[in-house]
Order: sequence, then structure tokens, then C-alpha cells
Amino acid sequence: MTALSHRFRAVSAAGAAHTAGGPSEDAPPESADAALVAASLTDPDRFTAVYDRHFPAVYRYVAGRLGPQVADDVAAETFLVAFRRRATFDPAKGEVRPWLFGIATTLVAQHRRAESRRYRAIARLAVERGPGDGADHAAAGGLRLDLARALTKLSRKERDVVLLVALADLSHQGVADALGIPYGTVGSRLSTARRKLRAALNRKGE
Amino acid sequence: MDELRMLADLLEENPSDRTAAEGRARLGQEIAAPARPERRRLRWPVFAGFGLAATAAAVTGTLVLSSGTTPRAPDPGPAAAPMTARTVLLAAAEKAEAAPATGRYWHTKSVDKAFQRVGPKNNPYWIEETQVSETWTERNGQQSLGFRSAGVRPATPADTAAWRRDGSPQRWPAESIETGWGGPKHLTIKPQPGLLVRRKETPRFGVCDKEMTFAQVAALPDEPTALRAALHKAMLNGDDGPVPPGSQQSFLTSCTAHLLFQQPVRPRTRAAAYRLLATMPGVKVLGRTVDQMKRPGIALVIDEGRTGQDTRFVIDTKTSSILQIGPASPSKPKIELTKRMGQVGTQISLEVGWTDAKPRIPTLP
Repeated sequence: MTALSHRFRAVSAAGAAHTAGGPSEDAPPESADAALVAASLTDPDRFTAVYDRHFPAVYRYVAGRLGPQVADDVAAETFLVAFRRRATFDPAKGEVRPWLFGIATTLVAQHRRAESRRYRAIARLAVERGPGDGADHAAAGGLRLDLARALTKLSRKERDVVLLVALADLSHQGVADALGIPYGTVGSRLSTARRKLRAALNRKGE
Repeated sequence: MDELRMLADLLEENPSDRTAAEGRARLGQEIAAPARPERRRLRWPVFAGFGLAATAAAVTGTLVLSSGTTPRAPDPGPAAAPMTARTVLLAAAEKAEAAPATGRYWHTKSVDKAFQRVGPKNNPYWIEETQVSETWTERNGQQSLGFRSAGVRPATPADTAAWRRDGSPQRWPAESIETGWGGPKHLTIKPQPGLLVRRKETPRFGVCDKEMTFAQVAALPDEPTALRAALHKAMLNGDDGPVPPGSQQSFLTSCTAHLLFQQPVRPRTRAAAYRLLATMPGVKVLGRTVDQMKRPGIALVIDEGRTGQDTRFVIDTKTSSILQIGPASPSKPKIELTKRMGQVGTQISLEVGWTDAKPRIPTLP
């Protein structure tokens, strides 16, 4: 993170934005996030602190689904959209993290071809890049291949839920807030999706 | 094993310093100059309909993304004779209509540059790879693809100096995960032997951000009003979601110009596209120029107003081919990168048209 902060400072010195401190590893509690968004209404520069705290996680989620090429753009765009809509952020409806991931998910949905290309590319790579050698290598590669293929067979709604949990590490409540769906629906979609993924893994894995 | 953990491992990607810094710079720009109306521009169809080259581009971590970057190609000189966009476009329509449409393959040959940041942490620098790609599409939709690297070099004199300090390395690992198609795993100073592959999937051609089959593109209307309606429909059904009403006109203008670049439309449809473009607002002639490959032509620009990014293209008046097309000026956040890297974002066409010549590994320009 040190190199990253350094670059951030370099950029903000050259550009318009500036924040003291830069990103921090030990992020303060969530209430601080909401306070930052609120403060950015009168002092827009404060929003860069929201970026610093959440960009890496949002990027990992978006790049996991769309691949690094498209993610460079979409992850950055997520924060532009969030910045423009910051007045509509309502702490009563959930925390900042799920709000950002909800925006990211909407943008991801506009790139469904990139997403399926991504999983196909991963499937092609699976065998080649699996860890280890010999039989273990082949077995691990096979599992990864099955998993990547199974992802393409999930519905978009199932993928949204399962990847917000697996990649973004959101709680059930967080996923419900991000997608604007009931808490119970998160549980049922997640278990359906996991059942499908396990079935795909078990078919050849045993 | 827990399938959620496996998924996280399988899909893991981390942002590079450059990505994080670029995103932060974009946010900084937004904060400094907010409140633009929502709009969308045509995706630069970089490597459009060319899956292999798209992955080949990924190999070298090209910075050409949907928002595009830049060219500041040679400034067009003052027009030698009075000309208007309308006269230039209508003359091109005549040429387009008369173009031959016989031959077994619709053939395109393009040159692109891809950039990658390399070197040790205390001495990083940019290298650029010149890539030549070709497509041969048959009327039944089958396609062969050729790809060849013309070699890598440091991007600017400053990068050359840094490269020398780095011990003048001759090869670097390619950056992206998307190398699964079996392309080069390394970037090298020396040109590569190249490859020729038969494509397994059916090729798609991006028209107004809507993917079409070869047959669909070939069936586009050959009368300007009907063509406009077909493009409008494609736009409304685009693969990236709806285009905001405020930017539909400029989007349509821009995608009409892109239809003229390397797309396998019939000669009469190309002529209709030129005539349609002649009726659209915001298309201006810049004058005679040479393109990035030093070929003469006439430069035009699609003015998208203060908030959009203009599209600049160069017409070869002898053939009506579009020699190059790309963003007319860099979007603000990318200016720094642009300065370093010059020509990113512009597509350059070396050859285009129907031919009987069989697919082969690309020759270097």
C-alpha cells in the first residue's frame, strides 16, 4: 500500500484533488465512511478519501467479473457515478460499501459480453495455469475449468449475489442493501447458486 | 473445498498502481469540473469484431479502453481549395458506390500500438509494441485471423534513456492474464514470426455498440433514411445498455463514421452511410492532411460539443477508404498518459476490401 499512497500523492499534487494522509490500511469504522460522504457534499475533495478506502476492493470485484482490461475503466467509473450521486446516499438504507458495490454491479451489468468472455478466458487458462504438476495439476485445473464454466451457467441475479459474497465479502445484509432486494431473497439465491456450483464441481471431481 | 473460496481464488485480480492512480485522477477531474449532463459516446471499437487481436492487445496491456485516449496526429494544414464536409462526403459516396465487391474474402489489415509499463520500481518506463492484425471473412461468416508483432521499443526518448539504464533488456513478460489463446507470453524487441488461425466462433461486428453477424451487416439498408433507422434501432438495442437521450444524435453520427471503417457493408450501403453523414450536424472538414502512416487524405471531425470527445477521421479520396479514425483530442484525465504515449486510441487501416488472396501470416509494414 505504501507505493500506492506514494503514487496517489504524486497524482494529487499534479492534479486538482488533494487529501491529507492518503489511503490507510487500518480503515476507521464504517460510520466514518458515511461521515466522509456527508462531508463531501460541502467539501467535494473529501470524496477522494472514499476512493482511497474502497477502490482496491471495488476493483477486485469488478476485475474478477470483467477482467483487468475492462475493470480499469469500470472501477474508476463506479466512483464517478458515486460522486455524482453522493447527495442521494442515505445511511438509513445501508452502509457506504454496499452502496458502492451496488453501483459497481449496475455498471458490470452493462458489460455482459465482457463478463462471459472473462469466464471463457479463465476456463481456457484453468488447466494451463493450475498449481502444481502431474495428476494434481490436472485435477486442480479441471476443477477450475468446471467452476469457470459453471459461472457462465448461473443467471445474472445468482452471479450478482454469489460474487458479491465471494469477491466483495459482503454480508447477507450488505448484499441486500447493494442490490436493493429483500434479505431472504439473498439467502435463497445464494444457496441456489452454491448448489449449482457444487454440482458442477462434483460431477468430475469425484 | 469451499466453492466460494475457490471462486475468489479463481477470479482474483489486484489493481496496479497505475490503475489506481488513473482512477483517482479521473475522480479528481470530476470533482474539479462536475455537473456534466449524463452522456455516452460510442465505444471506440478497438479491434472490433476481432477477438484474437483483442486478446493480443490484452497481452501487452494496451491502454486503449472504452473511453479512448488520444491522437495528436499531424495537424491538418489549411485547406488548399474551398471544401466542405458535405462535398468531401458526397464525393466519397460516389467512390464507395463504385467500389468492387467481388472476391472470396472481406479482408482488413490494421496496425495498432500497445503499451506496457516495465522496469524496476526506481526506474520504470513505457515500451510500445507495434502489432499488425488481419482478418479474412468469408460470406458464410467463417473467419481467419492473422497477427504479428513488429517488435517492441521504448515509447519516448526519455523511456529509451531509462531502458538503457535498465541494461537494454530485449524481452519482458507479457502482463495480462488473458494470454490463454496461446499467443506470445513475452514482448520482444525483435519482430515476431506471427501466426494465422482459423476462428472457431462466429465473428461479430460492432455496429453502434450492437454486435451483428456478417449477414446482418451485409443486409444493412442502402438508402440513407432507411440506414439511419437501422442504425438508430441498433443503438437503442446496444449491448451496453441505453444511450442517454441527450447524446443519441452525436452517438449516431459517430457510429455512422465507424460503419465506414473496415465494416463488411455492401458498396451501396457504404455510399448511403457517406450520404447520411453528409446530412448530419457537427461534421466538419479540417482539410488535407497525412495520416499516421504518412498517407495523404482529408481529415474530418465530428464535433460533439464541449462535453463530448470529438472523433477525427481521415478519408483516402482515391478509394473512399477511411485510413484512420480515433478520438480527436485526449480526454482530460488521460492527457498525461497521452503526452507520454502519443497515438493511443486511433485505429489505422492498412488495407481493406474484397479479395481472392488467401489468408497468410501478416507481412510487416
